[in-house]
Amino acid sequence: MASTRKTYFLAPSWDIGPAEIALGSVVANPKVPHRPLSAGTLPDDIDSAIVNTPPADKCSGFAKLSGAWSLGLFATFVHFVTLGGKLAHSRKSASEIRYSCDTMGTRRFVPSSTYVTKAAHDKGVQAFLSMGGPGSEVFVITGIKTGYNITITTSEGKDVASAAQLGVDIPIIQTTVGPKAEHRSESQQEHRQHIEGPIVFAYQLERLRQTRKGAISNSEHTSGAMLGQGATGEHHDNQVEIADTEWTSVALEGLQSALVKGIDEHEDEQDCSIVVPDIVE
Amino acid sequence: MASLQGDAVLERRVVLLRAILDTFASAAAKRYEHAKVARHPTKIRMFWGDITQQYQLILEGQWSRLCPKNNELLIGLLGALESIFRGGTVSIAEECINASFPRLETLRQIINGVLANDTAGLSHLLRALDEQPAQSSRTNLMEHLRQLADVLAGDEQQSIEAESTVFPQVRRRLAPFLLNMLAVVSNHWTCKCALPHRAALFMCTHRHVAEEDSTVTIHGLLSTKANEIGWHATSMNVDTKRSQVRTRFDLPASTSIPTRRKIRDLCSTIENSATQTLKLDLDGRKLLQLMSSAKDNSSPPDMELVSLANGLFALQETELGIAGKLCLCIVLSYSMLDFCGEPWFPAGWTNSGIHFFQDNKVLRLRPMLVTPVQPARDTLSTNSVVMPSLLLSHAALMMEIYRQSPLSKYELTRAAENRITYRAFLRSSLQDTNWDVHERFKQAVQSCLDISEMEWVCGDAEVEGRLDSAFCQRVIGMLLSDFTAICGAIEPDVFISSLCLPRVESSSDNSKTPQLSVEVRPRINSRVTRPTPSPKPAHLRAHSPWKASGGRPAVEPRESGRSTVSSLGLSYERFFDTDEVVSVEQIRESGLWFQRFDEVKAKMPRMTASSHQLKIAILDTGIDLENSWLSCHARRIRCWPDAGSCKDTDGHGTDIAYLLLRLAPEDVHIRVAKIAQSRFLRNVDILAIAKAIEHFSDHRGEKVDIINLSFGFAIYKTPELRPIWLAIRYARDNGVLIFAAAGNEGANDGVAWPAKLSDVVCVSAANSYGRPAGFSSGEGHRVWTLGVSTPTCRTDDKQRIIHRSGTSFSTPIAVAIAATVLAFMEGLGNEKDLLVPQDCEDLKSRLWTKTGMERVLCRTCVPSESLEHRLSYITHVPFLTMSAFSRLGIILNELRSVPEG
Repeated sequence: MASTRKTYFLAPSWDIGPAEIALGSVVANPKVPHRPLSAGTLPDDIDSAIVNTPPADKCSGFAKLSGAWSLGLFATFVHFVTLGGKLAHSRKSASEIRYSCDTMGTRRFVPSSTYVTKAAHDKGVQAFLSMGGPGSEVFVITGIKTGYNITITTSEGKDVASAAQLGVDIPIIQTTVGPKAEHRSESQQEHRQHIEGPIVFAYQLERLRQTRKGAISNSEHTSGAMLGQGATGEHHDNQVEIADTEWTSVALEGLQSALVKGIDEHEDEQDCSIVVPDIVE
Repeated sequence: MASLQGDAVLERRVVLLRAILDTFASAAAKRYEHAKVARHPTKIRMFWGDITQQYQLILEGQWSRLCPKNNELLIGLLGALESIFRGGTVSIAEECINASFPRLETLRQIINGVLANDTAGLSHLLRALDEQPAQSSRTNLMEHLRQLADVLAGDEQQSIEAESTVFPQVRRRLAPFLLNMLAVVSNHWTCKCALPHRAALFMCTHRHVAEEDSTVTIHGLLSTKANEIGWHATSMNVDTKRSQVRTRFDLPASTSIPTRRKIRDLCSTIENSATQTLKLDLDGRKLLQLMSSAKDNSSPPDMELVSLANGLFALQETELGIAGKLCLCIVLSYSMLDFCGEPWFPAGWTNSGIHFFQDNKVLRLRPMLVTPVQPARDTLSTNSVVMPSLLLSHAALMMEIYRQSPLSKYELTRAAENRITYRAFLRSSLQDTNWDVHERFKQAVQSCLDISEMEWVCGDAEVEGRLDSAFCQRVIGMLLSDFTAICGAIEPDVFISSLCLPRVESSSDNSKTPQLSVEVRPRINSRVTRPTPSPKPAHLRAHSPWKASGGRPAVEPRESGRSTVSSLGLSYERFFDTDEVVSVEQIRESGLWFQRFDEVKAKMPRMTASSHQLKIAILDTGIDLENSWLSCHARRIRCWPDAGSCKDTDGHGTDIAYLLLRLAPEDVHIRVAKIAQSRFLRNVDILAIAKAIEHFSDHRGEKVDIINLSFGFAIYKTPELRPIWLAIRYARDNGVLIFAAAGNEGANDGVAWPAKLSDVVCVSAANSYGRPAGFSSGEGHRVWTLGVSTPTCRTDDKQRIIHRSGTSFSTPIAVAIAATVLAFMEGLGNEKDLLVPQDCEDLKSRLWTKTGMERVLCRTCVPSESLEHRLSYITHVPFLTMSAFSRLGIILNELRSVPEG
């Protein structure tokens, strides 16, 4: 059964504008939402209501993460694009990040079966699904969160004590041999960046999966709705279904991403899941 | 050509001229004697014909165009010759008054029939024979000859007369001498060996035997026991002056004074000899052993005879450079003149009748004749005539040496039944051969065929002489010309002595005759256990700057396994994708192939992951990590040394990666190294390829299980490609499988290198129905799989999937199938209901050998009804649809039959 908790993917960088990530477009890689497989005209066929959440007031705060406290979606985005990598043990955990965002916006829609069918028949999507055979997945962008006038201030050089105040777990290194190095910097470097925007900082995806006709009942994603047929080319008797809308850690493993809990600062601080890409060396 | 000056150019001309002058002098002397004795018009015409032919060659600039200095000398020589006839015996014809050399021109025209049926002309020729030139004219001629000889030899002491007279004399005496010598030696073999002992004699050109040098050194080997293995190095000094044979065996020259001991049984003497060389002295009919006082602690080296067919063609993986091929043909051409008659080559003048010898390291490329040592016969063979049939065999042999591959044995056998069809077949092969820039080589072969069509009458000395002359001039002369152009003035005998190729190993030598015992060693291609990494190859430990040789190869003697090549020949190297347009039908068919794979895979439980992470390395044009499909599989991909250096700007490597990721088990990861910018392998860095192979073969790098090479080279050339060869050996020794594309030249070019290596699984392409693709090379090799219209992960501007064909793409498919087999075996520990035999772990490692993997693939991945076929069309389906129990049983049975390494 699909969860009511929304799952957001963090945008890979802070320089992707709303024009680059089209609501309703189909992408191959959840981590690369700005490179659609589908034709640019596909979003024009959206036949269901597009919900625009009204802009909220200016938000600001520290980007912090701890086991006890959930970090906001935007704060997580700021943390990710500033420091990169997994959040649990950032190598720059002694840094302090402050942010502010004047306005946030959200646009989302629930794709109809008609729209999914059209998406499945898009030539680019068909070709991609053919490449992978049964089990191949594509992703429809069903929600986009945008931000305007963003300021990010990064302070580096804080000592461990001050970093700990951010709520980040600091591993204590025990050394048994040699002098224990301890460095406390009195100086502090501050870096401020202003992004006028608008930028996309998170998005929602709906998974579409190709399956062999007649094999759906055997699929572990029995909750998926079969929506497209013959979607992978006239010679393949394949179908496309909406896979389980629940994003699990297992499902994200292949995407080299981590799933963390968070809150949506823009929409009444609702609980949400945040997909944070790993940094691939 | 005037710009072609300098020492090297001069040397080249000198050797060329010397070769032709030898022939000229030889022919002149022979014809003169015949003509004088017979005084028959035809013989007289023939005699002067040979002379005026040379005269015409000079006039037409076929000599003088090469070097102005030589041109001047030659013109002077003609002037001196012209002056011989000024005594008035040869009157000038009216048509020739304005010629530069009117008397020579008159003779030439008479010979050519312009003035035929002219009794006056014939009388001119006859009188010319009796010409008694003035002393001044004679002195003038001799002076010109002397000057020319100085230029030719670069030696003021050498006279052209000595060279020219000794040359034919020694040649014709050599064969009878050897027969006599071996007959004397045979008298001292009093053993009871079942078969006669053998002598293996090195062939050479014998061009430097002068009259004053009374001995000719014939190097060779003597067999220890006729029906066992073992040869002793010898050199035989044949006295050319004495009518009676006087031969001495000694090798090498010793500074100590030897004592002599009489030999009763040469067999036991050789057997008991603990020294490296047995030194014998044959004086008259006595055979003595030379006992040197100097200590010789070295033990006799292992020597083994290998037929040319095996040593140079079938078992040889190293390509001989063009200079070596030319030199070999020169030596064989001279030797053919020496030993063209019985009893020298009972197996025929073919690639199986001629032998090389090798020690435990290298194969020496001095050709050898192997002959039984037997008592003298009542009548010694005097048949040393170049016969047309022999010329055809020689043409075939030269062509094979150039190609370094045998002509079709079937065609040869069939065609040889009839000389006309044989010649036609050879002419056809001549045209089919890619002679590249070696036009003279081609002309030599063509001349051989042409001469074989000349009139030949058994026993007619004139005809035989004409054939000899033509052969020397048009075959040997042409080869020498090319050889000297490449190697300068180095003597072929010196050069051939230094030529080596890597030792060949085989389980049997096809050329072995019942009379000939040849040491053989079993070839070992597999190992019992996966070996520990061996030390890095030397070339990889010290990365010296390398660049492809583009100019003249060095001519210095090489130590071991280092032959020369003229250039890398970049136009031959390529990735093996075809330019064929893929049809809609082919796309549909390959789609069905993939569909079938998907269906079977979907029904199979996912193979359980094992602790061993299977990895496949791709050496190609890199990978496009931004490709939509590949980016979704990024976790399975790693680039070496980093992603930035592996960016694919061509697409070939991306397509290979796609097929592997698509068809190999999902737990299999790939590693990518970019070794070329484009599919044409332009500016390819050979050392980079070798380094990549080594990196993926070593735990110090990132060892993989399989390396995919979807490229190849038309021929193996050393030293350029040697680093790759060494790296492949290194990979093999470390238990890394190598799969390589067979090539897309069909049967035209044969299997490419390195696919043809015995350590590499050669993959050929078939269509989706398992029928060999027309473009695919690989005849005779076993592993075939889909290589026609395979899909890629790229689309065209109309969003259609690009499909491509070639053995480039059948290779990753075969690799993916192999990975499926490996994954099954690696996951056995997780198969709860499967009873695994105790020897499974030991046997499993044999899968990481070429033999083991190839056998398993051809047994488990081929439909059962096709198992008996020579070509194995492999797919996933038979393997995946088989029960795990059957799979395991068959695999282990196959591995048990793999020899232990």
